[in-house]
Amino acid sequence: MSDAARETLDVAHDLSKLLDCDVTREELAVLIALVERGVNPEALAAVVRELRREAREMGNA
Amino acid sequence: MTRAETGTVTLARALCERALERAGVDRASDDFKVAVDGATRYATRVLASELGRRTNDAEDDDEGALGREIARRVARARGAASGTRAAEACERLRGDGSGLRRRSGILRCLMAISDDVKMASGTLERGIARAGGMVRLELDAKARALAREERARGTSAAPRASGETTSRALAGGDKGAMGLHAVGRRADAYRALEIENVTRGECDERDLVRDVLYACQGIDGEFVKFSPAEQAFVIAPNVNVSAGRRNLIKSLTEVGWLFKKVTSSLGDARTTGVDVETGEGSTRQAFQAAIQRELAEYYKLVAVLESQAQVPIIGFMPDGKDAPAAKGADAYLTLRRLFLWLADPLKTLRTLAILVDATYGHRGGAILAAIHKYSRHGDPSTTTLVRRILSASATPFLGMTQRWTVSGELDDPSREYFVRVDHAVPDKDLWRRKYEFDENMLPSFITQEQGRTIMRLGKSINFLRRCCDDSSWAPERAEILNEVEKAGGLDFENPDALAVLILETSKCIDGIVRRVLFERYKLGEHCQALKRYLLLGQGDLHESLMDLIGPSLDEPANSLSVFKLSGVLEQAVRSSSVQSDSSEFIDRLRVRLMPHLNEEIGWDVFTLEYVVNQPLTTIFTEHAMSKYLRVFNFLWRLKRVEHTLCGTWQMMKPTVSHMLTSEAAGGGPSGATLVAMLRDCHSLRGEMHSFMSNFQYYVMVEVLEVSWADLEEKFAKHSDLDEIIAAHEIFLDSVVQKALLGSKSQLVLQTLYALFEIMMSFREVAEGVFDIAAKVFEKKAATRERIAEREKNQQWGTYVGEESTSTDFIDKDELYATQGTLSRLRDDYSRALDGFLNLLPLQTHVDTQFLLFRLDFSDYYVARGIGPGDVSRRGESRQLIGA
Repeated sequence: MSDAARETLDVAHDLSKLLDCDVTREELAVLIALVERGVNPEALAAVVRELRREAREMGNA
Repeated sequence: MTRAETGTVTLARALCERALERAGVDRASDDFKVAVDGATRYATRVLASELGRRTNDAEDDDEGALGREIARRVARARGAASGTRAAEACERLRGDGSGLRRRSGILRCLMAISDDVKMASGTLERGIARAGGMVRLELDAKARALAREERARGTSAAPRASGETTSRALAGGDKGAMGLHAVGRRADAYRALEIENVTRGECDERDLVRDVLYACQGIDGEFVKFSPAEQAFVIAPNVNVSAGRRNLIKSLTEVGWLFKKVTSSLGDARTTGVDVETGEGSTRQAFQAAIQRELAEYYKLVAVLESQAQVPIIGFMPDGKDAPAAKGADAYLTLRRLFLWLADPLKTLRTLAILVDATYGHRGGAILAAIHKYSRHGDPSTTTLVRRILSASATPFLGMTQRWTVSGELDDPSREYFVRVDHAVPDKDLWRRKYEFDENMLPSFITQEQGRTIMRLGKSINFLRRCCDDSSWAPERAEILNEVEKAGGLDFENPDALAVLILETSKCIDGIVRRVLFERYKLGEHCQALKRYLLLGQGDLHESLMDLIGPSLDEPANSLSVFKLSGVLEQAVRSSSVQSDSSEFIDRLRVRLMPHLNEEIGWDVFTLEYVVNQPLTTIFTEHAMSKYLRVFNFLWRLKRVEHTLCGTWQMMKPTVSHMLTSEAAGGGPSGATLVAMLRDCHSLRGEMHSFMSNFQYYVMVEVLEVSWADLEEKFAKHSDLDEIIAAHEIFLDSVVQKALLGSKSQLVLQTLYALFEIMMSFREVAEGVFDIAAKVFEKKAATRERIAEREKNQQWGTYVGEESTSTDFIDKDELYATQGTLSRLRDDYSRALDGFLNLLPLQTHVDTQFLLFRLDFSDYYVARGIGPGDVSRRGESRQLIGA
């Protein structure tokens, strides 16, 4: 991972924290990669949300 | 599976794994693997679906706006400092150094996740209907559907998923158990409604705002169009808009309607209701310019609103913690905000539209009058607006006023001013007919009186210039203008200046008019001359004229020559004291013969006239001169009767009549009759003379001199020409009225003329009586002479058969015929006098009462039962009865 990429990730992470997104650095890296691949960001957000809910339900179970 | 897809799957799997790990699922358990598999499958399906692949490239450009939006959200949620940090972070991500291709994608993704997190925790504020809102909702629905599908296939480890949870359930508040406060729930409810609206296909508010703004400029929008049939902006029928918004739009588009109306008045004559032929006039142009100026403010506001409608409002309600509203769509200009923004212009436009309506079809002063009516509005802001417009519109009008009052120029091609000039009228009628006062064009802030004065001032200047060849006006002009400047210049807001202008100019110009008329054109002297020549003020002139001209006037009218009569007039002038008068006045006195019929004699058609020139014809108009002639004719007739009576008197002088009486007395019954007749003649002549002298006294002293004194007083006091003319007219009218020449006195005048006729014919009768007496006298004298002669010759004085007594000398037939005529005349006279005296109290003029009193001063007529009796005494007796 280049410095520039790390820096970008840092900044994005900061931003996500400010926005209360509750994403880890790793998750963010994956998200950025997906977006860079041309995935619709809104759809991605929907997926993240669904995953979280599923996971929460599983965890509760 | 392509390479790219494989990459996506790998990444999706990584994502799923982390998500599950975070949820605390044991990585080593079987469950975990199954769940990851399922989740990955689900994720890849969503991402690979049509929706997932659809990236909104158009919005990639909108990075800046997105950054600002994020900064704003953070600022609201965590305070300004965090907001700044977020903005910096966005800025850095946007920088080229980040090496990212879809930077806005990241931001968008983060924002969406943030939204979701907040919503899940119940703190999400209402409204997500941003530009991409539709897409998101679609996605949500799709994603949820897919999740359900996964679960149905049994691959999901969470079969009791509550995916069915609809937004409506949220709004219903089934998360209340999670201890979230009510605001959040209400926000959810709002959001739910919003979603519902959107899903029902309702129009986006931003579009409506745009359309309303178009409408405000009088342009048809996509949904809101102007309907000529309804004369209003209406929402297109196929557009789905909620009732509340419909109402709002309806009230908002009133602005557009008003705007259309106001701007239409700025158009050509067709829309302003003014004839094209005479043009719109400078006042309307000024009015239109004033409206344009007012509209400029409005244009500015609309421009600002339009630009605001494009971008979200930044910094709107900075501390959002306690005010969770306004997000999403609310960040932009909403209809409600627009309503507030447009409240003021709506009021202004309403006022303007009222003014436009009020001035429709008017021009010039009428426009100002119409506007002025609204300047007394109770609302101060409306008053200021109207006064501002009025002030601007009145400028050309006041300019016209100044030019007209100060230099008498009237440049009014569109007939806007309240003074109308008729160029067809010749200068000799300049004062009376050339200029007309048009009340409709008088703005109400100039009083009627001021208007009349203004008209008089300009007229006076023109009168001096055109009729009097006087141009001594120029130096005063500058002074007056200085005074006006000192008073603050002519302006609607400064009525004092107008008053100063009027006052100063009238002081000046009236003085000049007066000076010119009285000193240069000798108005006073001419009046005096008229009174002396035509109103018989100079008695000896008319006496000698009567003597000289009398014989010629007895001839038939058609045999008279004006030249001969003029010669006689000249002779009369030379023989009277008038000869010392300046020839300037005497030369104006002319003889005139009225148009005549065959049988008329000179007396009926002869009249004197006094010729006046410009500019005095303004005062001595033809109408006035005809009144002078009427009075002259009356007085001339009076004079003639008096003259005749005097002639009779010469014949009946006491010495003559005494001699005749003594001669006739000795003549038996016929002699006694003759003596009685002679006495009758005397008493009748005495009565007639008393009547005439009283009447003449009344006319000459009580009528003419009193009115003349009034006139002189007024001439000394009044300064402006109108008042002088009026004074002169009052003088003439009062003379005509009091001398019984008015239209109401026709009947009494007829009886008076009948009296005059009787008096004229009395001369002949009296002559007859005296002829008889004279004949007796002559015969007696002849007899006496004959007797004396015979006695000298010593003969008998008388022979038998010769007439010896006076009875014998009287021709009895002639005597009785004359006696009959005399008694008839006497009866006629009594009857005519009775009629006259009875009619006299019916005259409205109070002075005629005095005449009656004077005529019957000694109750002579009352005692004889002629006339109405003693009016005052009858009044007394009536009062007694009443008591």
